[in-house]
Amino acid sequence: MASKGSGTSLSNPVLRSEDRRFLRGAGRYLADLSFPDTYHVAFVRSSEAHARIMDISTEKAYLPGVVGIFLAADLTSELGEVPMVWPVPGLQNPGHPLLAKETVRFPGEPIAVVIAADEQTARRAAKQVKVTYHRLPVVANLLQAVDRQAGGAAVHPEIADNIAYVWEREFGDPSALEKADDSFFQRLIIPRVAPLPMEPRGLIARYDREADLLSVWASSQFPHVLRLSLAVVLGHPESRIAVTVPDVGGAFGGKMNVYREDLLVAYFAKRLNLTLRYVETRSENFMAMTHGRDQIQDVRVFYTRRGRLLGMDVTIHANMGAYLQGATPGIPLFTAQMLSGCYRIPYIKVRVMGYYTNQAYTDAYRGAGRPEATYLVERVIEMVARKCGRDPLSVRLKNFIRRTQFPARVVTGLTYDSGDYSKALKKAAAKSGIKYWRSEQRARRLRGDRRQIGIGISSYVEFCGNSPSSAHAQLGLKTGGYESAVVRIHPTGAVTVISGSCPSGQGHETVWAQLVERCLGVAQEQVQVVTGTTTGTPWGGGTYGSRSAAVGGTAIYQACQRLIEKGRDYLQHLWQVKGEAIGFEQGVYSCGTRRISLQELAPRLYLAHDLPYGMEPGLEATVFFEPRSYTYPSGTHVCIVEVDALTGKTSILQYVAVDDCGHLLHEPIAKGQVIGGIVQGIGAALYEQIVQDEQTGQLLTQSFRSYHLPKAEDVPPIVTDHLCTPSPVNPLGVKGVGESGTIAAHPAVINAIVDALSVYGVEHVDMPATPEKLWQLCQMGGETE
Amino acid sequence: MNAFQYAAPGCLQDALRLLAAYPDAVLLAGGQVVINEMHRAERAPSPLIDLGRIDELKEIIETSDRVWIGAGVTHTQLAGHPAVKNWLPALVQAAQAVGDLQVRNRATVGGTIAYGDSCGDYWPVWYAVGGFVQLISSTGVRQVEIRDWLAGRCSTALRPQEIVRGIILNKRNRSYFCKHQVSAGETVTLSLAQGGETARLAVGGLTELPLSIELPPPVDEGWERRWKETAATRIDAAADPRATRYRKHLARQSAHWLIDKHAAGGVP
Ligand SMILES: Cc1cc2nc3c(=O)[nH]c(=O)nc-3n(C[C@H](O)[C@H](O)[C@H](O)COP(=O)(O)OP(=O)(O)OC[C@H]3O[C@@H](n4cnc5c(N)ncnc54)[C@H](O)[C@@H]3O)c2cc1C
Repeated sequence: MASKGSGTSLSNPVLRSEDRRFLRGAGRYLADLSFPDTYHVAFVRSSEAHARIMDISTEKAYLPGVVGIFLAADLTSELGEVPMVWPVPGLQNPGHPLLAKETVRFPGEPIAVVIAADEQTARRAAKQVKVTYHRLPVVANLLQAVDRQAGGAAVHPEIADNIAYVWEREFGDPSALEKADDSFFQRLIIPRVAPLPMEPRGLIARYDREADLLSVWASSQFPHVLRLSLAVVLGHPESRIAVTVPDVGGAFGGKMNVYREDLLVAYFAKRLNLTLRYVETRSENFMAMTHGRDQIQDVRVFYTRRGRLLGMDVTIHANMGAYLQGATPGIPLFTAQMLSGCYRIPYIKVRVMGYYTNQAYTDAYRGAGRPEATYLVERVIEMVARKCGRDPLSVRLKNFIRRTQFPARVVTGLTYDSGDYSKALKKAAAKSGIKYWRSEQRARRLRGDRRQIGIGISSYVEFCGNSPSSAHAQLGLKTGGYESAVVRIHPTGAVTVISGSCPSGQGHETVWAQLVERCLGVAQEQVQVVTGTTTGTPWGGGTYGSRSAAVGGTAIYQACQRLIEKGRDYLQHLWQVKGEAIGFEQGVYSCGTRRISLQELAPRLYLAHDLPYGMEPGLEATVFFEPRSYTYPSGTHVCIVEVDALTGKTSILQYVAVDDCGHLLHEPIAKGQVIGGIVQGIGAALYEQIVQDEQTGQLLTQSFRSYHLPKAEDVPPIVTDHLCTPSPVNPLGVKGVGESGTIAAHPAVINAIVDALSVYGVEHVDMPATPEKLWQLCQMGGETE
Repeated sequence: MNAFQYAAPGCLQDALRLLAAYPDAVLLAGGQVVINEMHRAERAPSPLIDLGRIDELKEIIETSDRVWIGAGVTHTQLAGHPAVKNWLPALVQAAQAVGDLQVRNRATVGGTIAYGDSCGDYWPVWYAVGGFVQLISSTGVRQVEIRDWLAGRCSTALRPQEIVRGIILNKRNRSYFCKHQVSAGETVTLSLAQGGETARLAVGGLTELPLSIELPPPVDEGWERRWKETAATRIDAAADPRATRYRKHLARQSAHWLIDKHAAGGVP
């Protein structure tokens, strides 16, 4: 339901127009594209986590149909490296070659490129390339790096202690801690997980030597950044590269990166003058797409007996992986920035330490640093409540930023735009019947039931609307945060909307068309949405960080406003009245009894027979919208679990989400985003983890057989509701909703499990809360009793 | 996938002749393993011999004390067959616990026997009820006791040029099954079956081959307790890297539940 009195939200959402295509199997994904004379690429990948390459023998790999096999030494020296745009101060960057030269540093690292006439031959040939390794000591996970357990193993010999960087800040006034009655220490481990879009990555590159035109089709979140990277790395004119993004089957951050595979496929297409196609397998997606999270957080918490959270001293150990992808070093800085959560915390000291390990690169994954922050803050507030013997609801209420305090500047330096945290909490509590569950919990505890009930609360705030470019500058991120739009009204009155942000399943087509209908009064059937082509759209940052509505949507909105103004200027001349006297509603201008629609004006502006002096013909506007601030969605989720102490199994009995993402542009889409996000959060909380063998570093989770993604039967019914505090920082009043579900879900589930097992003396459990782990905790509790 | 030769013989004799003539031939049943291997370019059969048109492999035949299940019977067909429902309820439960619907609709009993994943769901049931794997080759029919069939995880007594024809199982209408997921792809499965004086419990997922536990005849008072003790002792003694404390605990617990269930059904 659209919020009342918003004026900018539609109360009658339409079905998603793209679903007609998707649900009938008529979507066109990368692997559906076919070109004549296509050759196929396969990669020889490292089977080792860390090894010196002693020998590479390609002799047996020249199967019939193989066009070429290329090693690092075969690449031209002018070829650049994988671009990295976040040089955090003090960063030790080991570089990121396109193919491993002497050493491989993570399982799946590309060693050689095989090109063949068909996909299977390329793959079979890649298997026939024999690589002889000399194994080196491995840093198999973050804990080994942090505890220097790896026996002196160095991922990059020139980088001491595998430390990529140390970033420290002290926020607020340390004297606030003097009022603390007590403090405690807690280590929280947030495991490495895989984004796992339904459609893996892929790229097709085609080179036209005559025109010197490099055409690329990619399953990507940001075609323009891919084009820019190709231009820089390949040394090819950016104007002669065309990137097209077809339908994308999910991305979750994994496709907002330019990978070695992408650069190599494009490079060889040009060098060999061939059309090349690469679509990764699921195992390759597990191995070589960026992973997410992977932090160890050491927290000291200062609080008063009455449940006031006064300060935190936090060290965030963050796993970079073996090399840096585009934004790898910066993601944990987002965690640092969001450490105040929904609360008034007077003092926060934070140290972020990045480490190299013999693992795949980390980078943004749905939430990008904010889930880690929310997890920390929401686990901490829960622990404070428990230590003070107080209700976690009231402790939250006590510490919340109040409704009247917005815009609220928190100690980490951010200014939250708007919110009503207490209202969301109360609404979620009422909706989930917490009183009932508390009494059920008491009853089960009294009778020593093997199935214990737990209630988990998670109040979150996060930032979206990435981003004010100045905020990038502050964090050392070498990108801008704006977004572009072109709105073109054709002579017939039909409209083309061109947006720099392109969908990977979210429903941009529907929402953009709806937005234009609302602004210009043009029926959606007359509106065509164009995204995902670098030749057809102005520069676009891409779709990530729940930014499309707040930034891309605002750009469209402003372009529409410019066209309305142009129409008004023209009418001022035509009707000989003052601009203020001309109203505009639902696509129609009026002044007194005179009425004319914007669509009727369009042909006149193209004929240009009677334009006022100095007015350009046509009816088209291009806007680059630079946001002046982040937006801050918030809300409270409540999760009810039942944990079987005998088997350690957790069942989620109920999940309620109350979210405030500002005005809703399309309710079902927002709801879908929330639910999908929650499911990914539940997955990480209960099941998911990328694991490498502690001794050899071998990747143990490279298929769905060994990596448990939540299945339909694992997903509880999820009830959603919302409230709306419109964002004052953009004219649509929207905030963003793509990641909040995931951000809120981790602590909601874990808090519930800890609550259930508190009868066994359990105070904390790290994700994923597997049955075995929970059973062991119950056993230990049982013994100490 | 690359081009490959394909043959779909209509009878076992033709299949055996093809198998003899082509050393690189691979048999195809439900294809849930084979097709995946081909897709990953791990196998290049020449030819692929599809057993799907051989009608005699699709039968389920009931005799006075046994049930014969053809190699070509799918998990879904098995679970829906009256003879299996009547005489081997644990097998129906196991069949319904396999993978997902698509897998159950395609994967077969014969493919499962030949693939020989000792952590699969059928094995504890087959061990508990007892019977024979039936094989056919150009030299005739051979039968191997179920407990002698598996040699390791995905390793069996299948000989070259042999085709699994079916499995012969003792009727055990008092049989039970349960399955616990331990982690992704890892399960602990148990089955209990009794027929006359013989009662057996089998546990999968604890040891490389299913752990088979003979239980004393349920004659005197207190047999449930003795069964539970026997089960617990054998489970606790399991020495295998995968037999963690947690798995042993699950196995013990489940053994108790199955025994209680059996006892609740009346004195055997
Ligand atoms: C996604 C997935 C999930 C699964 N989950 C489970 C589970 O939860 N529990 C479980 O127990 N099992 C599970 N399985 C395994 C499944 O039950 C079958 O055991 C497996 O698929 C093999 O059966 P098939 O008919 O598909 O054999 P195929 O793939 O056709 O063949 C398997 C092997 O047996 C050989 N073969 C086939 N038939 C014969 C024959 N008659 N004589 C000699 N050799 C033969 C083939 O050449 C091949 O080597 C799962 C499989 C998949 C793909």
